[in-house]
Amino acid sequence: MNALLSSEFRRFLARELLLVLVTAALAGIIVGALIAAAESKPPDPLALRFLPEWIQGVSFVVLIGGLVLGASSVGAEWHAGTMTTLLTWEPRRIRLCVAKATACLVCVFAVAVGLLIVFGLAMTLATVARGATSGLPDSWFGSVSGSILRTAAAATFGSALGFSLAMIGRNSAAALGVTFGYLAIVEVLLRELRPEWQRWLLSDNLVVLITGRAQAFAGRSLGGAALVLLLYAGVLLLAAAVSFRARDVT
Amino acid sequence: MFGFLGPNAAGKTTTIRCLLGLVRSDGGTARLLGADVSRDLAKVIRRVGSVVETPTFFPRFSGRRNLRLLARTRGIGFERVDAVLERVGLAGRAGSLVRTYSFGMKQRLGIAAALLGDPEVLVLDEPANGLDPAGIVEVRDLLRSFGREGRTVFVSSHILSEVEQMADRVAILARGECLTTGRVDEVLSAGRSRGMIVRLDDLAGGARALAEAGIRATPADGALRVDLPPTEASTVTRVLADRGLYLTELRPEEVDLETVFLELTSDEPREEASG
Repeated sequence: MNALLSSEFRRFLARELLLVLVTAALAGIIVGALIAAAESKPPDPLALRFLPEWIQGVSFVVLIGGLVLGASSVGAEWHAGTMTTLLTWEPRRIRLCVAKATACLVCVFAVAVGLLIVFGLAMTLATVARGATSGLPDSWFGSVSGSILRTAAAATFGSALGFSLAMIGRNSAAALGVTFGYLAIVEVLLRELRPEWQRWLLSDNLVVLITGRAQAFAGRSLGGAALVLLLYAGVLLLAAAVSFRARDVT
Repeated sequence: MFGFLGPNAAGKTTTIRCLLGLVRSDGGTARLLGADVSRDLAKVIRRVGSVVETPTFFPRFSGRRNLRLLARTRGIGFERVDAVLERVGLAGRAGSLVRTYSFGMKQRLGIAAALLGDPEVLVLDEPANGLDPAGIVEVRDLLRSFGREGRTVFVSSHILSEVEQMADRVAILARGECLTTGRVDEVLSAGRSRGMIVRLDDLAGGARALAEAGIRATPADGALRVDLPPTEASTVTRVLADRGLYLTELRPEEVDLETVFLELTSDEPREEASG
């Protein structure tokens, strides 16, 4: 299993899309920090105490990045046909699926944490140069760390969602289409038509996870939202593994 | 070497996919190296190298990098990667992206991947498909060399002349059914036993004489094809000689694998073939 896992980690890290997304993210961070520094002026300068909120502000982009990476990690293999080649090397499909999912989720979490740290450092530098660094509360560092970890966890959830749907649909675009369609149509309708179901909706639980605060509209604590998302991710990954094991590869 | 023959849609690739666990059969049992593939494929898969249809690799990775990723899956050393690339003649282009490879190079990379684990059995699905004549000769020589090394090479193809030159045994498949299987000479002789070629000056008279004796004879390339096995040669000579017709040639009909293949896989009613 170790050799397979090691191979899957390398396969994931060698993906060109990962390189493109990380490069784009780094460029965005640098440009964003420069603009923020340039725009920082009295009476409303950049204030370092808001760094946790800034991190939460980019969480949507990080979440989408995780979703895209998760979907493409298997969707591209189905598209290119390399899944067939791999299955002639490792016919134990559950084992292969677990190795792929593990590599995908761990890498997305690590990359998200890394990028968010870089974002935090860049914004700190911008603030040191052109903003206000005083008045940080004692809980500031913990709050920043929490925001980074919770946002990375949301991105990891996104990658689990993308991975599972792409494994079931054997296509990256289908996975992304289903996700955006569900979030943009189904959840909006459910929120209107069945307000009592809101606490079970993906987007509401993700908001609780990212902000770290129980939201009145969601009716969830942070721990509750994390558990719900964990449960959803587990069910989706299980469905992906069952589908992968059961269906023919033609 | 085992040639697995059949026209398009005969079920060759599906059979290979069944053997490799990619699809499940509706019924029956598939065994690979004695293992029931529905249960124990993982126990023997390391002893099998395979290429199913067109070899598939990451197009934006080099050939070497693709093979290294596969090698890592089983903990195979990278020196083996270089060795198999050398073996299939890709060492000089190993660092190039796969998307820049010609079709023939991709086929050879697929064979290199199949060789990575130093397998006892190679299962190759149409390895010469889409190759130019030089590429076909290269692949044929490569496959022969694998056979000489003592590996079992299971190769599916519809290029019959290639299989005839390489294979020791063949199976002919059509519409998902194995029509005949056996040593190449056995399969060929099953076809050869059906007829003789008779050459004489008066072809029309000969055909008439044979017809009057109840022997079917049809014109074929300036001769007559007589529908009797070679063991009945004396009957033919006697019938013709009785009517004052003398042979210039009488020989068993030479049947190549293509003829047998076409006979067995045609939609026309066919005679039984032994094998």
